[in-house]
Amino acid sequence: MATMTDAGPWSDAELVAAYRKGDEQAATEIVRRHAPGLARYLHGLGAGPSDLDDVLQETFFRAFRSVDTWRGEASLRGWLCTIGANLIRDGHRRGKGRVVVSIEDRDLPDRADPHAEAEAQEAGARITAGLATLPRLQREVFLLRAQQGCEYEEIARALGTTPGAARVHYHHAVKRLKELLS
Amino acid sequence: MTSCTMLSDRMPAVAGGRDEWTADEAGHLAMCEECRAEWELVRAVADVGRDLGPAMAPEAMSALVLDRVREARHRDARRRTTTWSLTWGGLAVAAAVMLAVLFRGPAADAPIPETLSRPTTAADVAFHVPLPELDDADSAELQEVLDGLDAPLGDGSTLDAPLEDDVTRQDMERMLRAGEA
Repeated sequence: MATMTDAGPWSDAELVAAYRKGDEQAATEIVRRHAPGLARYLHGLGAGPSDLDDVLQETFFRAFRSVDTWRGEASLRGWLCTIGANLIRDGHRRGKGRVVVSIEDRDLPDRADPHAEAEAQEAGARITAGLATLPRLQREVFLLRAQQGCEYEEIARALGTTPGAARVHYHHAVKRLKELLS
Repeated sequence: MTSCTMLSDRMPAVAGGRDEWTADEAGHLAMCEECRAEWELVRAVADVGRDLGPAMAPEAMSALVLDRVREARHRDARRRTTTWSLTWGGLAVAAAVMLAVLFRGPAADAPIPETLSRPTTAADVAFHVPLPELDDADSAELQEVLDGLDAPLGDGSTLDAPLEDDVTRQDMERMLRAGEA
């Protein structure tokens, strides 16, 4: 049986297949590959930086526990994002919603240009606040598209909608954010 | 000729650093205010949280997650086993009770009474009570048995009537509980 010690980049589907056969290194590779992007997505949905590790862990736990339900029709990233978004939504529903913490609250690495750094922080905070005002589907579609770079077909499969509807949600989100941020 | 829709569709890839604007696209962007506003927004969103990430190393996070998955699967397996045990145990007890009820009557090698070998009617129940010991009795003996049945209990009856204090209420309850058990 091939294991993750074999050389060569593995596709997500190959990694999942290897994990299903018991290769735990494949699971580690999945975490390594998707945790950073997933963290940014979850932050965009309202997870505070201090909660990110917990939400990420829970997302991967649910994903690995029900990995047999992933059939490869949606991308693994889209599937993980959906699990994470459901977690955050459930947290809000139970009244334990994650507090949106602005990006200034996190210790960021020093950048060469303090002025550019401050501007980026301010823009980030405004975007995060603006995202919080969007309806759920608009927010998720917009982040999956603009931040994660997913195609509309992929977004539609992940969120259980149609590519046309996903496109409409995206454009509504763009319009609202433009108004909010102008 | 680049349209606003085409440019909009390409924005995430360029913002994510996976692609670059062509000269035509860059020209459209410089001219179109709407597209420029959208591009600024998409670029800003793509940049949000770029410095964020899990504080935990992938190996550590993966190890923690897989431990939890293993625990959860063991728990599920135990729960399934318990459920099956209870189900099969219950079925076995039910089957044992049914068998006991079915075979409690006459011995297996005894001839099947006529009433069991053919459908029973209300008339059969009322007028045909098989009591072989009375088959050869004459009418006087039969009358004596009938008188005994009609007599009040404890007053010349052939049935044994319990005497007072013979069985206490506690004894009765104990017997009932034993019977139920």
